[in-house]
Amino acid sequence: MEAAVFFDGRSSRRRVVRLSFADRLEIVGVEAPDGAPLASWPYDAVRRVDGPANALRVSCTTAPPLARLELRDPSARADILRLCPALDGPGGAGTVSVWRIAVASLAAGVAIIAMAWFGMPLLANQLAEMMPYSWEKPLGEAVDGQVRTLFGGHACESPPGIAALKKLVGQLQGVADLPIAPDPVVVQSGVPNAFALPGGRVYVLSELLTVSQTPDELAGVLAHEFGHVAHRDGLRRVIRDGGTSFLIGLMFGDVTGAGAVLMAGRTVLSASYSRADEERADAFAVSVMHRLGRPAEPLGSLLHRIIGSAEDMVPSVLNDHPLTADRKARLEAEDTPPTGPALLDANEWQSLKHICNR
Amino acid sequence: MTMAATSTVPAAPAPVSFTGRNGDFRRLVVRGALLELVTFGFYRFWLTTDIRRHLWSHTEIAGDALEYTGRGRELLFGFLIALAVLGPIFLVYFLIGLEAERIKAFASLPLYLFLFAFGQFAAYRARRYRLTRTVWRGVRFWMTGSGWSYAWRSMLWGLLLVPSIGLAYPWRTAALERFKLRHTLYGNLPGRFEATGGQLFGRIWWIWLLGLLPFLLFAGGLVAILVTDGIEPQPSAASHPPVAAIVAMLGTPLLIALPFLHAIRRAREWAWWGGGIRFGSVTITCDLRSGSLIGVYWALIGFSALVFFAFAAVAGGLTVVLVRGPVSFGQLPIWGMAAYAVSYLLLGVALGVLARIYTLQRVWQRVVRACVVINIEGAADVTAAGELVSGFGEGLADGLDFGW
Repeated sequence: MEAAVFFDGRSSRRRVVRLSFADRLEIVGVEAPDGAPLASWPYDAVRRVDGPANALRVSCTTAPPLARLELRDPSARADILRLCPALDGPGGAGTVSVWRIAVASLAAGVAIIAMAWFGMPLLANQLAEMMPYSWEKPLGEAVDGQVRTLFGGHACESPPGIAALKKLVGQLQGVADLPIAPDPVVVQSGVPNAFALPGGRVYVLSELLTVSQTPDELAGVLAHEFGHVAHRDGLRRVIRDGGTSFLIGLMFGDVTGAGAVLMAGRTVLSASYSRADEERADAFAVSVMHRLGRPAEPLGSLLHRIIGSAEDMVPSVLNDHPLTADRKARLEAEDTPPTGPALLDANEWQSLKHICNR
Repeated sequence: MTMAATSTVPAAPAPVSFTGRNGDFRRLVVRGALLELVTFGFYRFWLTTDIRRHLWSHTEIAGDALEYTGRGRELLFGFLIALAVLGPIFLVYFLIGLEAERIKAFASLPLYLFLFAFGQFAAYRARRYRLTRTVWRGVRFWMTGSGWSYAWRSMLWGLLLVPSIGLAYPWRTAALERFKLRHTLYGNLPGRFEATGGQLFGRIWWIWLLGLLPFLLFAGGLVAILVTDGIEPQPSAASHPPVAAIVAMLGTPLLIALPFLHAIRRAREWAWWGGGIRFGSVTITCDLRSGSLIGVYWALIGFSALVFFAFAAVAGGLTVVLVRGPVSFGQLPIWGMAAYAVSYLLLGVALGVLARIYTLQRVWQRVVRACVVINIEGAADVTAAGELVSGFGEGLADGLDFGW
């Protein structure tokens, strides 16, 4: 068996060598035993590197970085282990401290979670306030095409219905005073819902019209959505969710999972607002309705009718919306008897309810 | 005069061997996977490095083991730099996508192609990192060539895959391997790839054909159902069973055959690939039997199924313990939720460990042992060359999730 094999790190030439333990480790080629040593390494510069199980493979910090000495003979191996004091010192293969990695990772993880939890909403608030409305608009327009495609491509546009809707929206806008004049669209859907997109687009799903019993109920929902527009909740959510998924992706190494950043435009449709956002939008709706001299309580009744007690099954921590019962109670507490004229007369209300009929 | 101590008999093939023990590798990946779990995944850089160190240092060519000199720290830095680059790119990508959506709904989809191309670039750069950390006999491998040049080749060939229903695959693989090996060097000894797409096609064409069969069957079944529906207008389910039964009868054996076919295909492709590698006058041949990976893939399937059953049993047991009587999900105690979460995470860890053992180490072991090097003397005195490159490419690949 070859006792030791040497590679000088300059060429791939394989040299069987013998070791001489002088004041330095001298590596002498067996084919030229009388010549000068091929290398002479200070004992304290010898480092252990990765090698096969049956050999000790070492390098030297003063030699070319890839110079290697492989010791197959157990006695030579023992000599090296005995003579070299810094075999696992810096510059060798060494072993990494798992504890250091674990502690550093935990610190990084906690920092990232804190950033996502506290930093992102803060950042989103700041950025949303700084961003002019004109920047927000394209975001909504980009998603608009997808919304219409998802809902069958057709908005409901019977002329008397449109006229009634415009009248209702005009009165709301008269007191809400949104920076972008709202232009709600009714789309065909069996789900009773309405939502606002960044850029001030408000969508009313036709089933909501079916379920609403009075103009005040529908006006309450619209005012609520106008609240999201006024507070720019949609834009803040895009920034917040995009940033958060980027951070989480950072943690687990899948930055494309922060492809949710790319998908943010699409998630606008599915994600929900935070509870605080909903409460502010409710408060906005109450204030708008009161300034019109109309009651806010019907919004609560409508919500209760739609959602009913179904959501009580879901743990409240997981649910972003304030519980309907809570919201209903709050809206009732704020209620005042109507002082202003009805927002729509009976005919207009019927036209609006049948806006999807051709 | 020669000082080379290798065999003096010329043309004797030099063996390639793998000396690693299965138990060592298993312990390495189990420990690493658990550490990954408690470090939010950050340990992956060191685990990847340790896996490579293990595989490389137990792979011997003509009696001398490879060495992997890369470090986890390099991968971490590479990843952080890649993040700094990817962040703005994703933002620009997002804004462009927005603009495209504004013009036409879902128009931003082609932009995913750009990300795919970027992934190919990253894969090339990651390969370069790995090569410059691969050392044999005190000389490192390295690589030239442009990552973008590789990326567009890969994309163009990729475009052929769809219209040719996968027929272009052998030629694409051969072309890309030629490009990679042409730019690969061991010291000053240039590499090249001599296997052809035609040879690969000759080895796997029948598997490709059989692979198409389930799809043809499915499409055929669908057509049959539509036709029978057309003949028999009332929507009765009674007309479907014969068709469904035929599909199931043919489909079930195919499902069982799939792992066999995949294993054979992989084995033949590995043998083809290994046998195409040349460095100067050094030649590699791989006598990997077609059936040699079948056991590996079935072991993976079997153990994965076991893990799933264990998980189902635990989750089922938990549910029985937690939900006595009509209790809704929202009323679960917090420790119950935690128990579900932990068992789910452990399922992920177990599956990850199995994948690393069976698709990485066992395959490596079998492929390596089947290969021999002919005319190893051609590499007896190669001058060292090539510079180290940073882990940026690996970081990109990690960030784009195309890494391996």
